[in-house]
Amino acid sequence: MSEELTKQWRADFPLFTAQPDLVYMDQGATGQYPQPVIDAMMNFATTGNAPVHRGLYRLAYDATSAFEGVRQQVADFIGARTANEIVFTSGTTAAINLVAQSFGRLFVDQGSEVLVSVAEHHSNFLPWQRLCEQTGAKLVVAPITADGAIDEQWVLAHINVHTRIVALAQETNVSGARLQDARAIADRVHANGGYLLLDGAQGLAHQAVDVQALGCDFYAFSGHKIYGPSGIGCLYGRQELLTEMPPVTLGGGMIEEVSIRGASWLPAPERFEAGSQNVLGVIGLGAAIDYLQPRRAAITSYCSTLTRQLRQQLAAIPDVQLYSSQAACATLSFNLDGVHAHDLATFLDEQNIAVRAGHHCAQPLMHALAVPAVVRATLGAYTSVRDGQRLVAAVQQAREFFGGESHGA
Amino acid sequence: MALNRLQQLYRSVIVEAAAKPATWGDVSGAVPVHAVNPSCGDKLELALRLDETGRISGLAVPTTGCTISQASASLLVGVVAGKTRAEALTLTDEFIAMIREGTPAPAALGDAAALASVHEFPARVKCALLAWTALRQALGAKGAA
Repeated sequence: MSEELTKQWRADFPLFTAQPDLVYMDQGATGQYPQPVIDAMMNFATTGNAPVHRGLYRLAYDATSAFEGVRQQVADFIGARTANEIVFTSGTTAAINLVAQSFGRLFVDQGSEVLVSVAEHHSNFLPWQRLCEQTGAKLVVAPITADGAIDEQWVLAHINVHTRIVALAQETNVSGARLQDARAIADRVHANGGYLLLDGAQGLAHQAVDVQALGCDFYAFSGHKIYGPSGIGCLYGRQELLTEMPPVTLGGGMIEEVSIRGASWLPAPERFEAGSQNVLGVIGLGAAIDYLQPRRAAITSYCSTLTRQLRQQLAAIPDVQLYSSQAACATLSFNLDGVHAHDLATFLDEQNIAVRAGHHCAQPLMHALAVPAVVRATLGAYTSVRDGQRLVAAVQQAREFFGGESHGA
Repeated sequence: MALNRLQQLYRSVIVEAAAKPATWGDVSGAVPVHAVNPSCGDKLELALRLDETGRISGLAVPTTGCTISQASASLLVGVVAGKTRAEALTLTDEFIAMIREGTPAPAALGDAAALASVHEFPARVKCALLAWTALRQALGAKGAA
């Protein structure tokens, strides 16, 4: 284990100076801020804040340049052809809902099929479930493998000429399993006249993404899961598709002309960005990409090694059931037999170990696994080897505590 | 190490209550109230019967969830069994105040007072209240004054 690297990264996150005893293992829900992201946002708020695409004065022009600069930065970061393929949204959820309600309403009708997996986060499940209810299309739900991965062979075998959209997590949020061959799925669905959306909420933090190489038509992600702020995210959409798509949210900043008889829209991406934009969030997102991009491969390699070791140590504790994939690079999902996930999470919280416990916005998966809830620990750049040791020790203690010991009168 | 706080939260009376079925009397024919705690997946089906004098003559609150939610359901049944609607509503208000505000528990809450320390665990307040708020709803829905 490369302790030196971790120490360096951990020192980048001021939360751990304020809370030196905290073991934060909820990066998969929301990440912590490295200092450069805080600095960039503070700097913009204190020296450069202005509305974008509206003001005629220099401060607003500069703010707009910074805002559009991040759009280009995102395009380069994920391999889009042009910055016009990047729509700023409030996050992954808003991005997927936009595709479902705009693109979906154009391309999906009765007789169509929409293919998702049982492991999807609700944000990549409910928008499609509703679209199918609205249009009479059929929701086709792919199962998971024994290791918790989306069954890609099943997906390939169930794509047909009726499949209009395939929407899958690049990395699932409970098992941490990653799609092995998105390109094969993209090629199959394209050959059948359909389209592929990838939910990159979990994946982008851990792997280099090139949307052209992946072959996806849409890619959605959130800032706060890649060390940036919450409330900002992006939708990548192939330009020819965005151009055809109608806006879903109407308001200021997205029109070409409005009269009492009707309106015409700006081209993409502005067409999809009604209302005042989260400029501060966009600035923070740009700084987060600057932080992550040069470090991502090393962080992922470090987290993967630590995750594998912790998985083995947890598996060695009697009564621990693991639900995360053996190949997960930063996710440990587990339960202790006979102890509800919330009781375990409270026990861990009392040792100052922050984990997620519950259904993880993945109730179809919980039903498939036949468990009401699981505990999930997710690692980030700042996770230390000692954090991992404390987690394993605390789970062992929890087993003793809940395992029939006397609990005080 | 915060084991003392945990020992308070998971006192034996609570752990034992969680293991007991939360049911008393006859609830045949009652229309169940369904309640969920969406953040954690705790679920219950509360079935309530009142007799002709307005007293609780049957109450069943089968719950799937954490220790706190299951113990709370079982303790609720013990506390309100045989009480009038008005008495049950008062006890429910007192229990909710104990959990939410940390108000001292009156003697009438009996073993349910063992859950008082949940007040110190804000993330678990919903678990402790699920059964009690479902009873309030069931008593209201019955309209039996």
